[in-house]
Amino acid sequence: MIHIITAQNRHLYAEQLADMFQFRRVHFVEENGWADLTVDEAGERDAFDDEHAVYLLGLDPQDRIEVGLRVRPPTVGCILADAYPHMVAPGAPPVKGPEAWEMSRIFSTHAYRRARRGGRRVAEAFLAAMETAHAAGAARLVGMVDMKLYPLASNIAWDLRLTGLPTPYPYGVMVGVHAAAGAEEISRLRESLGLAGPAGYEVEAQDLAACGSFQGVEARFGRTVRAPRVEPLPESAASIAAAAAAYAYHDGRRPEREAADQMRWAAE
Amino acid sequence: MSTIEGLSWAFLSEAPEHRSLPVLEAHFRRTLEAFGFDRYCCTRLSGLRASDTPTIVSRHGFETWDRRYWAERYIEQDPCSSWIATSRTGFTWTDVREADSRGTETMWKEALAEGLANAFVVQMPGPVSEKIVLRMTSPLTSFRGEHRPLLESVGVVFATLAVRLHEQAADRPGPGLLSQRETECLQWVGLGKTDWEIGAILDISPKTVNHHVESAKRKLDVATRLQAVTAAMSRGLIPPILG
Repeated sequence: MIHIITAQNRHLYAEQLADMFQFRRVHFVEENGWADLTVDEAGERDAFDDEHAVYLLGLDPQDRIEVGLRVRPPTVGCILADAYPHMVAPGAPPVKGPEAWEMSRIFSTHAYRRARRGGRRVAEAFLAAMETAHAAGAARLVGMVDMKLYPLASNIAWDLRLTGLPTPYPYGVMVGVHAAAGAEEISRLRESLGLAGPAGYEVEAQDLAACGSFQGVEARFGRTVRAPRVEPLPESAASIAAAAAAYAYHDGRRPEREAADQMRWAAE
Repeated sequence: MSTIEGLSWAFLSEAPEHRSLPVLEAHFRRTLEAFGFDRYCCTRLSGLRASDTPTIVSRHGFETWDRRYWAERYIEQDPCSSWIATSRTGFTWTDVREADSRGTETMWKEALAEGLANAFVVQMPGPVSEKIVLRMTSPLTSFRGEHRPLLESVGVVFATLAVRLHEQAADRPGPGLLSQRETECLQWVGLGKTDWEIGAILDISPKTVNHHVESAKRKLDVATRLQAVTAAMSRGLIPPILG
């Protein structure tokens, strides 16, 4: 489950949000060397960390952050369109307006990467971003990605496209990207992650009161969204016979022919 | 937009539409030529020792040098190897030679004799704990620095898509409606596995797993994975799941 943190429920996540700004400082400034970001004792934050920002956080069983992502409606400021308009080619889908939501500040913590759990949690965060944008009436997500992360980002079951030519920046090469966030795309990504329902959930105070903790909410919520597994057949005589028949059919043998053979042998 | 920028944008925007490796390769070769590069080799590397035989994903005009490179175990003395392990961006052979070329003059001379005067190398994480390495070579030693970001992006997009199409091309027809990979993927889907888990089991990328499952859904004319598993099971395409 990915926690959707909006202006309405931020008060429930004071500790996690404080950690998030510190993790952003560690990830973007210390590990990736983005020295021009604004950093103070509260961590890394910029002008887009306003009341419109929606934070998507994946937490571990101790409520510590594993992955994080920020999404915003770009009608009230868009990093890609406002600061890097040259990265949007003529003819590319609009990156600013009611049809698009912008993703930024995507990170995973050092502890999560060290656990080598692959890109699944990041993909869940992207799915939650698609769900959030879709619920707000947007048709696509837009954002910028360092080219060295393009192979990982494009390995997710979404159709990631570039918005324009890449641009060098002091720490590598950056490119604008967009991905459709329609019902079909959401359904496909959910299936690939083994989810039968939304990845993101906006916890309310009543949820916490009822479940006691974020993990309590996740436990209850997770049960409802986990993909239904095809139930194994009980090992009854009938199921074994059905399996044998299916295997025989698969091998080119036909049960009816075998039955006829048995009758013939019995007659002989 | 300059000619190189126009050709690069055409490749970057159209490449994800290509559905076969030969079509992608042909488009990539045309784009490379605009940068003055005429050969390339894209490999999946599990390590940087001579015993770590690479998987060739795609190459053009690189066969002779590749044979010599591995026969002479050059990977173990090639200073590019340490750059591949540590570099965060693309680099040229000129960058490497300027930094350190001790003991490797023979290798550089042999490469030059093969018509490989310079190369631009990009590396990226592979789908299954490997490195994907793309070497693009030029018969000329000079390479215009302002084109590096473009060539790096073209190379990264090509290598990412080529690895995926190479995995898809390795699939074989099955005994029935579904291919071998589609059958395998559906069986694991039936056991509740995600694309990430199936990819780890079958040693292919999650996106390739998704391609096979979506292809199976189309063939079975169903909308969901659960329906696909049920339909495949009822038609005898995959065995029933026994507890």
